[in-house]
Amino acid sequence: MSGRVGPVLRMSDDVDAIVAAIEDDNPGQQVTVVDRGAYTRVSGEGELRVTRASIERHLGREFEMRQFEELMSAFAGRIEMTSQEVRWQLGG
Amino acid sequence: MARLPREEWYDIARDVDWDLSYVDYDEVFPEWMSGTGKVPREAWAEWDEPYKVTYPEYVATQREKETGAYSVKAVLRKSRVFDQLDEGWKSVAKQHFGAVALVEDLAAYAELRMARFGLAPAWRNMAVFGALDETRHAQISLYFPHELLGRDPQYDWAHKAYHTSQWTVAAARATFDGMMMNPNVVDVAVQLPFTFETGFTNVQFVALAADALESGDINFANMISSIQTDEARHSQQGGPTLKILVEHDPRRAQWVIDKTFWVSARLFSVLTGPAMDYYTPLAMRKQSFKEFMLEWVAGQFADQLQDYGLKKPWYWDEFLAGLDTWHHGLHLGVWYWRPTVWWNPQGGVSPAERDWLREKYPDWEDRFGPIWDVIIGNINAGQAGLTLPATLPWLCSLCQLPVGTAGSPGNQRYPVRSYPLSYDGRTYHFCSRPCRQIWWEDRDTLHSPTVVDRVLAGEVQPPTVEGLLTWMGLTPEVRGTDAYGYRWARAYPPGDPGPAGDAGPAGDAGPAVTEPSNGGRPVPVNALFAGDFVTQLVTLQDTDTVDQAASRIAAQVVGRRVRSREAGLVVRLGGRVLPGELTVAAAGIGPLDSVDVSWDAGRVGER
Amino acid sequence: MAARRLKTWSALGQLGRLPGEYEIVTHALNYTTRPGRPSALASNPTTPANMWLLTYRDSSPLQAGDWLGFRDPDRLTYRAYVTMQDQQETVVAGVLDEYGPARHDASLPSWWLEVLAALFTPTRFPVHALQMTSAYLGYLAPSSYITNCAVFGTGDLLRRVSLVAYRTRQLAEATDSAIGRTERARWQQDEAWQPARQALEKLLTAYDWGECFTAMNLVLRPTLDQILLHELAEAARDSGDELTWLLLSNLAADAARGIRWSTALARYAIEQRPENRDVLRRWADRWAPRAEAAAAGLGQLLSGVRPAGAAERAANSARHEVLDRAGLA
Repeated sequence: MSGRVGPVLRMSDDVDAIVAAIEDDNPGQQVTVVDRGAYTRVSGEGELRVTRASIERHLGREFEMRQFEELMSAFAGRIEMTSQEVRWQLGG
Repeated sequence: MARLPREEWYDIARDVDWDLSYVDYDEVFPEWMSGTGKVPREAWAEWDEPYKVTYPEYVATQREKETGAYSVKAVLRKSRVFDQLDEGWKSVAKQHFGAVALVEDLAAYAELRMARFGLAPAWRNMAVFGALDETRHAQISLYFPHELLGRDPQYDWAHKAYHTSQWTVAAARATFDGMMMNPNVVDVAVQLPFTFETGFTNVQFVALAADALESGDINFANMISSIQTDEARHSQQGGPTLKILVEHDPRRAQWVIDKTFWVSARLFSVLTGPAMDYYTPLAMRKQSFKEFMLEWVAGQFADQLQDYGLKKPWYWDEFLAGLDTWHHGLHLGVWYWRPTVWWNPQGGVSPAERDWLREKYPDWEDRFGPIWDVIIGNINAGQAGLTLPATLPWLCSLCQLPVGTAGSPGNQRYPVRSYPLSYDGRTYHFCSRPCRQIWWEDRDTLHSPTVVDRVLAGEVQPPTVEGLLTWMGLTPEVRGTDAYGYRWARAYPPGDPGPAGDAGPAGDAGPAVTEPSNGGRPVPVNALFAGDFVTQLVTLQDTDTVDQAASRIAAQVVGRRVRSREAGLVVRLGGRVLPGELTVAAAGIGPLDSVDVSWDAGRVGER
Repeated sequence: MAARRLKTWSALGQLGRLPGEYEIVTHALNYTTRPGRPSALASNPTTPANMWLLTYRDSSPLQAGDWLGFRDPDRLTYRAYVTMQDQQETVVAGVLDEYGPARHDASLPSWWLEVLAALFTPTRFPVHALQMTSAYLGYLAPSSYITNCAVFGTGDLLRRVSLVAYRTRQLAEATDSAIGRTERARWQQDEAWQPARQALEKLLTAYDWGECFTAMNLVLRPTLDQILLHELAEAARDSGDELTWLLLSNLAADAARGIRWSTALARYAIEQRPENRDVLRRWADRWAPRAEAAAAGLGQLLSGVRPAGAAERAANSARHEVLDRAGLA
């Protein structure tokens, strides 16, 4: 079992900002980013999260958490989505 | 004033169960449809979707997604992007649209079934979004190819495919009806959203998008990855259902996943495997099919299984081994039988492509190289007719794909062979032990005739290749041809590989799938010629001698896919060598038997 | 390659005109209804699921030579649907903002809050029952043109449950009423609700697709929605609750669209086969008494705010009007 979790982002202008937000929200985690052109796989070990506040900071505009759905075409791990954050984890 | 956050009111919208008073619970949630089984009714109250969305959020998000997808399409329509796409890549898209569009619509019925018969209100609500999503996917998967109809009639099959009895479609229908429409909704939730949508569709919709973008098909890449953002959400109906099922009936959970995973893996090997490893232009391939499958399915999905306290399926090693062979055999089959498909398969075995295949699949050359060499030799000798079929591969009674393609030539562990089963007075053939086992366990449900069964039942008239193509709905202008007009084969130096030798006594093998009688009674058998990659339907006469039978079988293979040799032939039935001078009847060969033919060095010159 | 260039799907070629987006993406999608199939599903013809489709769809008393000729009068596609409903949800959000619910709701008199507690906030249960039934109709419909109408209709009903839930929360917070605590009890026990509940529970077991369609879309919904959307809205406006009036009026547009395609479908069925008029009428007659009883019960809950018997009469005449539009008068 690899134990890696996190979102797979589809191609868009916002990928870099989301990756930066994820890095901010997971201090101490080794966040791995694999870019395959049409998709970018972002992963961490066991658990990863991203908050609306960090996304807004990096995008420099308002962001509703529901809009994360437009960016994420898949993910690894179990997801938990609230109006303020998304969390991916295994063993939940 | 801002709206209330979702968390403030969401639970009220899903707190909508009540105690029925005027009708019985079992009437409203019949076991056939709802399928609670060993799970106590109350347990479903715990059902909690991890990926929540509300109606206002849904329509806002989906509107934005649709605007995105359609505006890219509108921009590209005016460009010349489509004209510049590689013919091999176009076949990926044609195959995708035909295989997928109407299955998306079928998935809408599966979601509607869960929206009605699901055992928790939260589940039923999520399934409503699922049904809307799948309606989107069907519509977008039709609207995009529709504008290409004027350029190429093969795109008509985006809509037409599932209205026909074409063989890959028949295989897909058997798989998807068994996954979405036949089972109760608990099984549907474990099979469709959990196993299929989180396991497999990612490979076709996310991974393939990587190849699409590289190939310059921005429109297609954008559309399929947008579709998958919906799947990422509604596939989350699977987890909560599985969690409850595992708690009360882990055996059922494991079985339902195991069988769905297997047939899905088989189907993806004919759909996605050739697309990634042969049709996508070499320079544009992001990863091999095997690498994508390891990333998305073997890795990510296997983690998921363990996370829910389940085991890897019992055939896991066989599945992993199959990543090296299944799709190569299926590609070879689709290419050889190309008039039976609605896209133009790219042969994909030029010297450069072959180097790539050997690098990604170290056994490829030993397994498949010899057959491709015969094909290349024939093409370059001006005998392309020998690379076209004169009979049908035998189709597995479960996955409905050619028997042999779950193994490969020269493979000790998983050889090319049938796994037969006698049941209820007849013999069924399977491509693998897992297909046979799944069919046996679920035989009352899964019993569904393959194209070969229908030919044998006399449904195809006349029973010739031409008759079969017409019966499958393939009008002459859509029948597949080599995407590059054999350009890839001409890249080999003249005379290398050398000629395949004599094509045998019936080099043109005749038009007959079930040949008319020469006085005897027809005996259709499932025939394997040693070194070939599939078993085939060959119709013998009971008055043939065994030697004549051997020639009939050899005619379908020798000089076509297996190089001719200075040797005689030997026929085996159930491992037993049959004397050449006996008649088929006297030798005990009966209809639907597995008959093996191989070279016999001891009989040189007799042929 | 043949010289003839296709302008549309070969399956749509006989239209004699170019199809629009609606037909391109809606025509003949349900392969389990294709002609010449051995059984609906590619599995043993005797599986429960195959038998279900055979019994309740393919052998329904409601038959037509060609269900693929039916068209939704609104010609809705998915993208048109989400665009339209996002606009409507934006309207709803605007209305909610304008009325600043906390202040508006706190100003409502307790006698009116009791009407809302009795007749408005409990509706998440009956509307969920309709949502389930509408999903079933989509599953069992004999053509994708009908299924898609039902799918969008199912979405509308989830929209309605969602808005009711949202308002339930707001009203519960802003007022000192029973709202938010008594909905299930009223739905399950209040005598005024019981005929409606009985009708809707029975509707859940009306498995023949034609009967399901007739009972829900031509009989029960026109009757119930007249009270739950229109009469209640009028009463709200008369009682100074403009917010409820505006929200219900917005939801009523969804219901009106449902009536448009449902009456068109009934007329189409009769056009295809005149005997269908009797088939539909028999079902309408079977379900009308249940609808009448439901109207009589729910009408009582408006007795303080509407003239005696007015709501019940309006509900029954709304049903008659729909049956009339359906060609079943």
